[in-house]
Amino acid sequence: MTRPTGQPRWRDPGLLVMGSLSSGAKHGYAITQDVSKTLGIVLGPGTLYGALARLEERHLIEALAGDERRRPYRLTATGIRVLSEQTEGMLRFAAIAKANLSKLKPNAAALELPS
Amino acid sequence: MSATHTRLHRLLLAAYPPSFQARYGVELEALTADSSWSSRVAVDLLLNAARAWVRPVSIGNGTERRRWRFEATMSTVFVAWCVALVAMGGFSRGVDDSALPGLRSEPVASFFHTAESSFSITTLVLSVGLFYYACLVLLPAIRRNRRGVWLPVALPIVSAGAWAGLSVLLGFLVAHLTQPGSPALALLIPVGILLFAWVATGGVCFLACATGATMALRRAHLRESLLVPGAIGGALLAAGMVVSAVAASICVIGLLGYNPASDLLIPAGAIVVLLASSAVAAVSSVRGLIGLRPRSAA
Repeated sequence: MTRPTGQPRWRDPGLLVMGSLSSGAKHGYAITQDVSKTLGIVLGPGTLYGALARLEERHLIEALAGDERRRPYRLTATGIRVLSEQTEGMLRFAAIAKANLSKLKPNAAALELPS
Repeated sequence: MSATHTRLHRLLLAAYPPSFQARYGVELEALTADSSWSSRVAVDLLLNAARAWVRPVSIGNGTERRRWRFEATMSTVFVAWCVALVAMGGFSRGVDDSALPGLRSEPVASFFHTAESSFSITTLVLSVGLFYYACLVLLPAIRRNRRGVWLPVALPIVSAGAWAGLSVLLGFLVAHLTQPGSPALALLIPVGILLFAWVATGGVCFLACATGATMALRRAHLRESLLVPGAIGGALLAAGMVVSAVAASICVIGLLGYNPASDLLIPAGAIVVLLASSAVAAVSSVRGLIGLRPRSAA
C-alpha cells in the first residue's frame, strides 16, 4: 500500500500480480511476499483478491487445484501474451523517456534548471 | 492476532458480495489471518468490498456466468432498494412532516409526488418479485427442510416481528408518559432502554432483510432461466429508483428557493443516499440486461 519515492507509477495491482506469477504459480500470501520483497510494495488482502478476481474474470490467470485456503494461481496463455505486450510497451516507453531525458539534461544545465 | 481483531476481519469479509465470498472468501480469510492487524488492512478490505459491490466480477463460463450475473444483479438491486427505502423515508419525513412552505408551490409538489409515487411503484414491483421467488425458493426449501435456504429469510421475519412488538410497547409507554399525573421519572429509564432496543432491533431487522433474501437466493442455486424474470424485474426496480431519486433531487433544489438551506439538511442527506443507491442499482441492472443478450454476445 506504500510506494517508495522515485518509483514509477507502474503499480497497478493486476500488473504486479501478473509480474509475480511470471516466475511461477503462487498462492495469495506468496504473491504479497514476492511483491513486497521485489518491489517494496505491500498489497493489502482486499486489493490482492480484487486484482486476482478481475484477472481471473478476464482469463489472464487461472486457479490450480490445491488447498482451498491457499489456492495457487498461474498465468494463462492469454495472460502471458498480455503481460509480454505490457512489458514491451513499458520498455519502449522507458527507452524513449530515457533517450529524451539524456537530451534534456544538457539543455537543463544550460538554462540553469535543476536537472 | 487477537480474537477481537479476528472478529473484526470476519465482519469486514462479510461485507463482500455473496458471490465474491463464495469464490474467494476462504482464501481471503486465510490471508487476513496471516496479516497483522492494522487500520490500513481494515480500510483496504472495506474499500475493496465496496468496489466488489459496485464492480462485481463474474467467474465461470457460459451458463454459470450468466446465472451468476443475474443473481448478482438481483442481490445488488435488492440491497440498494433497501438502502433507498430508508433514504426515501428520511426524504419524505424531512419534506412532508415539516410542512415546508415551498411544498405549496405546484411544480415542487408535483416532483415530490412523482418521487413518492415512483418509489411506491418500485415497492409494488418488488412485492410481486418477492412473492414469485418466495414460491420458487422458500416453499420447496421448507418442504425439503433445507435450513440453509429458509433460515436466512426466517431471521428477518422474526426480527421484524420483534421490532414491531417493541414499537407497540414503546408507543404505549410514551403515550403513558405524556399523560398528566403519570410517574414520568420512574418510566424514563425503561423508555430509554426500550428506545435503545428498538433502534438496535431496527438495525438488525434492516440488515437481516437486506442480506437474508440474497443469501437464500444464492443458496437455492436456481437455474438460469428462473433468474431471468428477476433480472428484468431488477431493471424495472432500478428505473423506478432512478426516477424517484431524480424527482426528489429536483424537489429539494426547488425547495431551496422557498426555505432556508438549514431546513433541508435531512432531505438533502437522504437525496445523496438515494442517488448513490439508485446509481448502484442502475449500473447492476444494466449489466444484468447485457447478460440477457444471446449467448454468443454475452
